[in-house]
Amino acid sequence: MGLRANVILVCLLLPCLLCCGCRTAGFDIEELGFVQISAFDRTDDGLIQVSVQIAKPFAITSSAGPPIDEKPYWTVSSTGQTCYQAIRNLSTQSPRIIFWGHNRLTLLGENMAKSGVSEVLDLLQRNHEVRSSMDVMSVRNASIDEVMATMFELERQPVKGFFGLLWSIQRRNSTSFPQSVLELSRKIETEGMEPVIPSVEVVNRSDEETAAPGQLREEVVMDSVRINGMAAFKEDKLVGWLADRESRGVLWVLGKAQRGILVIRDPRDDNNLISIRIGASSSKIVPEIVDDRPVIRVVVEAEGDPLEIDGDASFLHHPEIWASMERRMAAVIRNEIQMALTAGQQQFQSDIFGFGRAFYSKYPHEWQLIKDNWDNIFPTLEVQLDIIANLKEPGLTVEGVRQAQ
Amino acid sequence: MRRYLRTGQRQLLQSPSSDVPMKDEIRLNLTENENQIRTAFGYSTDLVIRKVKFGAYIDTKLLIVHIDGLVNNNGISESVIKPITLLSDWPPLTDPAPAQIFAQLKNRLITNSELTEVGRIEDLLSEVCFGNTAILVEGHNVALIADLKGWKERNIEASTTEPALHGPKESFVETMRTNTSMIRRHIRDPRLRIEERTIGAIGRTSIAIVYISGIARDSIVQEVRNRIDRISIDSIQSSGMLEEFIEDSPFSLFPTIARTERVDRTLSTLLEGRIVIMTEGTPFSLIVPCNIFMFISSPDDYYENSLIGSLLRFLRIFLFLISLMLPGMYVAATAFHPEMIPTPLALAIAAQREGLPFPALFEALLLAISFEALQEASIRAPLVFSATVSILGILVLGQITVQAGLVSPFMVIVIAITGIASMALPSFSMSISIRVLRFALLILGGILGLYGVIWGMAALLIHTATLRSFGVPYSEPIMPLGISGLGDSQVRISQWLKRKRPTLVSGINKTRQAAGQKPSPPTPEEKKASAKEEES
Amino acid sequence: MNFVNKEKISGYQLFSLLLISRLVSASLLNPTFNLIKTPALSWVNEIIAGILAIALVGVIVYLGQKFPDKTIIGYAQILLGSVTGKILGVFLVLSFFLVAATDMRILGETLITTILPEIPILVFIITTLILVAWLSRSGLEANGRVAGFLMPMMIILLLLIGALACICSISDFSYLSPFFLPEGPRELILPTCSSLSSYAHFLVLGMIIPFVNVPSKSMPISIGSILMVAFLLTLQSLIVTAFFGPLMNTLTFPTFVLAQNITLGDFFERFEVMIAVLWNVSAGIKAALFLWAAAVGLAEILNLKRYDPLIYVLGALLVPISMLSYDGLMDVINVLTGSMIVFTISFVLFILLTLLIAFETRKYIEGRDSNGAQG
Repeated sequence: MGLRANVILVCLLLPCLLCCGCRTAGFDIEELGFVQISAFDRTDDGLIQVSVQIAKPFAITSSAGPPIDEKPYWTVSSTGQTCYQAIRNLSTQSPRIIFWGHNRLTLLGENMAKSGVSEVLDLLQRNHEVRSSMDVMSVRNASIDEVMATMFELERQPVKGFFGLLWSIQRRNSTSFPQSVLELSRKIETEGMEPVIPSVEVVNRSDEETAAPGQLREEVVMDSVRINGMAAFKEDKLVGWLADRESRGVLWVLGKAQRGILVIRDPRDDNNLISIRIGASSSKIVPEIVDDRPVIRVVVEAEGDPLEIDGDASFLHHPEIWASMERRMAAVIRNEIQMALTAGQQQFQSDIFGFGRAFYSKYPHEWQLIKDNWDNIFPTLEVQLDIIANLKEPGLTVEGVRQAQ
Repeated sequence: MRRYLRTGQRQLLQSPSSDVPMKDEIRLNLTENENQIRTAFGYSTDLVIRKVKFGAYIDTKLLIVHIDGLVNNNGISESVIKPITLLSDWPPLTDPAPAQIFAQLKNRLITNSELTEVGRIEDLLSEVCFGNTAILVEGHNVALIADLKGWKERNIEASTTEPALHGPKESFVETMRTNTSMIRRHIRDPRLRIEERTIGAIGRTSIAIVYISGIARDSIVQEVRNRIDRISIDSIQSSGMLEEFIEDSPFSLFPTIARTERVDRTLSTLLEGRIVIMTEGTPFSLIVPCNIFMFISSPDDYYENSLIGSLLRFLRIFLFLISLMLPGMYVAATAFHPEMIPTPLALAIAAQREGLPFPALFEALLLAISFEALQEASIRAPLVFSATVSILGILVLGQITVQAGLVSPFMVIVIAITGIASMALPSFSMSISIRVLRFALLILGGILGLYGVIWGMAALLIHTATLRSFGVPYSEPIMPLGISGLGDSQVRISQWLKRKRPTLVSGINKTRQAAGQKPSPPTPEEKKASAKEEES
Repeated sequence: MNFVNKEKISGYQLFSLLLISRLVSASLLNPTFNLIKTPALSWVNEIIAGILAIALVGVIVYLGQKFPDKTIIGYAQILLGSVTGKILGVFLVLSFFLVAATDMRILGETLITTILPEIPILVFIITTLILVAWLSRSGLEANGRVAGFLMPMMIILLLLIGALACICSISDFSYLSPFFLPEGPRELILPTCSSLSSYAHFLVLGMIIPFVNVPSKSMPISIGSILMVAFLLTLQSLIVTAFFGPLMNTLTFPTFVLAQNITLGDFFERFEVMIAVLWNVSAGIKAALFLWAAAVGLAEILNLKRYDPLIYVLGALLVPISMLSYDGLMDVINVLTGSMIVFTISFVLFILLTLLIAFETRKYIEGRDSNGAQG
């Protein structure tokens, strides 16, 4: 490698650098509008509406600066014939280049969900900027604009609020479960399995809340959002809503109900209620073929700890009462799963439990015969439930506060 | 030494005073000789020529020639003048012929240990220039040269450029002989070879090639000799000039010759089979062949636990990469790949950059250049200005530029981290090349994004893969993979594990030490044996 | 052959070169995935292709070891005669050149599709080509060193991403069952051939073997590298299937998207840039290897004393060739999943069978002659 070769290299390199020097891509990070939440819906006249919340970096308080009394985001929406056109139409309103690389949450409007979400999913996966690991939620009983307009009392950036909700629902209640765009589209593509995604609705607090007597209402009560169960899809179309307990039923079957509270009645006194915290659970879907008919057996094993005992707690010393409590816990779980099965099989006729997939895994040859007919088989599919419930720890106290007799 | 002077150099030597017939033999006539010497030196005032008589009874004159300041005056009077003037009378010479006097001087009178003869004026002059003392005898055409050098030299002090917390403090000084003696004092084996060369027709600097025969590879030693002998120059003032003449790729930004001021470091490299080149007048030794890991290792690595030494090296490799790539990566990420930055950080950066006048690349260049200026100023500025420099640096660069909205605080942080990282590297010659390369990567990152940074890194990788130091691959234990060298590259394994010397560097003698020297508490059998000994 | 003995690479470097040049054509743009019909069994074809590749490479190395100081073009001239051998050599050089051109084009297409869509593809091709030409001009030795340096990093990174993908909540290993092919074993043929056609690039071994410092080791090392590659590719198929399920055969850059979706502690995200970057460098190594092979081959055909001047010429030619031979990413994928498979496999089989038959015939005739002479 002599000097001459180096000179040749430099001569080759310089024009390259010069031609990139006048690149058209010149943007800097402060010229970008970071999309934080995006929402897609279909308007009544068939156009696609896109709403995005774009972060206002200068309005996000840092730890050092004084608190800024300004919304740290800007909500803007636009319409177009396709999703991408709608997104590009946003740029007529946004002075900053809209950047999707930090978008972590997307909301699907009800109209959009009902008419099919595949084009949104395609857009989100085809674009290299977008991460397909972002969470997806479905909006229930509200327009996307209403959801996007709500503010969180505890979070300045709504995206953090939504993530907080998803996090707490997964860790505390198990009435819903976060799903990413990738998981949603994967389930749409999977044979014998239909997707469920969390659904979000607006709580209109200004209506329900009245000023308590003797108290001045100082704060303006804002609408807030809450996550309410899940949305059941069939292929890429929304077919219905699952309430909180129904969606937990689905999660029991999927083995994802890991947290939450079950309320059972005291085995000795039906008036007393006992709260049980779900500790861990596992599920197994066992497909069987009985008399040439597909039958599904779902085995759910759940653990729980009694956390609140309403009434006499002395029974904790009695194993037989302990056992009957476990039976009651199993019954509650069975009840929840039954509700979910009814919703899935009768109401929506959508295999949100993945029974078909379980069949395919175990009986691939038979599945080839029934897969085209699965939509007809599924609603009348016989599902046997085996629930095994275990109670574990009584908490910090053995016997609680004695009630006055 | 003189035999290494080649004809080209002789010509150079003669050119300045070609009117003097210096090719001449020494004359018989002492006055002629004296005139010749004086003319050759152009009546320089530091030339001392003393005429003495050989004893009280013989009239033959002797000429003692030396240069003031280069000789040990005491030594001259004790071992030359005193014997000639006081002791030459007894026993009386049977035949006071010049040859007899000369023999008497050589064999009996002059008590200096190193004594040679020269027959030509030219050689005599050069010996005198080296600080030796010449003694001429009237009527005899051979001169005696006595080595009575002696001059002021700096004391041996602790190293200032490569400080180490533990370990020996001594470092080299400007006098080569002192330096070689320091090496010899620690390697007491005749296999330690010190070969000397004189480079420079006018400066005539002494250069020593130091190596351990058998441990150093002969072919590499020969290569060093060849490269040094090839130099034909008027003078070499420091080892830096020598480096430029002998390095493998003069246009590479990476140093292919390691320098050190520390004696312990020199010794350990000698024992690895490397060759040390010392230059008269430079308190640094040059180490060849070297590899890239010698620039991230510090003597302290060897004086601490090997685990800590290894972790420190990993830290330095990390800092090496940080100081090379961080500004480029930062600019590439903010300008091309904002999705790479975690969301809160991206928003914070965007908020800080709000309203800044420059794009990220120029912002980074501005700060980086100011940082370089600050660094340069703090090295070059006289000590009295150092307070001014640091106040200006802290206030103006650190604070006011941010307050004035010229640069963002994040960029200041990035440049500061880069600066600290580059200063944490033990080798200045490496960190100075990183400083240059950092700018290249910064510009590449600003033009082509992360691809540009990686392009630059790939180019560096290819460059280091092809680079050689005296024929040995520069990135040696890694590219190509050398298992025995790996123990002292990114990691530093325990001393008792280092059984072999680096394969590509060392000669026939490759084994460093015996196996199985891992220290351990005494086994039960050993305990029993020692207990028995105590009893008896 | 005066340049054969100048450079030597070690077994480790051979291993790294082979591993990198095969993994490059699978770790980002993996057309094999697009041919898969049943994602659950996507790993099977990688294993079959690996086994077939061992046979393929076995023949190449076997022939190479019979002529330890000759490249494949060198011994082709001995076995088939000078003219026929040279014609075969020209085809070989063209194929090496084409592989390098395709590699460069894929590299450019990947970069503009995944990370930097604003910059024209020509910039990437030219800038990378500068490095490629430099590396391949520095010789096989330098290339081997760089490959030896990057190979462990590449494997560690792939394994790290695999491990992170496995613990990621998105992964669902139930997608790996059942062991069932709806359309029967013939489903496997096309993906297996596609994977095998990437292994067919190992024909370049014929050029490398004379440069290996211990020629007898080249057989175990080549087979070892195939086993390692097959292991990594199988692992990749398993993880990609678990991650994407039925979507795995619809993606153009599955590993890239996979890396996009995994996080480490919610903070270290966006591994895809690291993947793209490492892949980029590896693609450069592969292109440099094939450019080097083409230059050495051409020098040998033309009986030149040195090959390095040819590298700049061929390197400059790579730009227009790689730009003109494909229309765009879709065209690249179409070609790689279609005509390229047929072409590569039949070409390699033709070359190897011709040489093998010629060699065996020669050996037989020589054996008979010597027997005849004795009798």
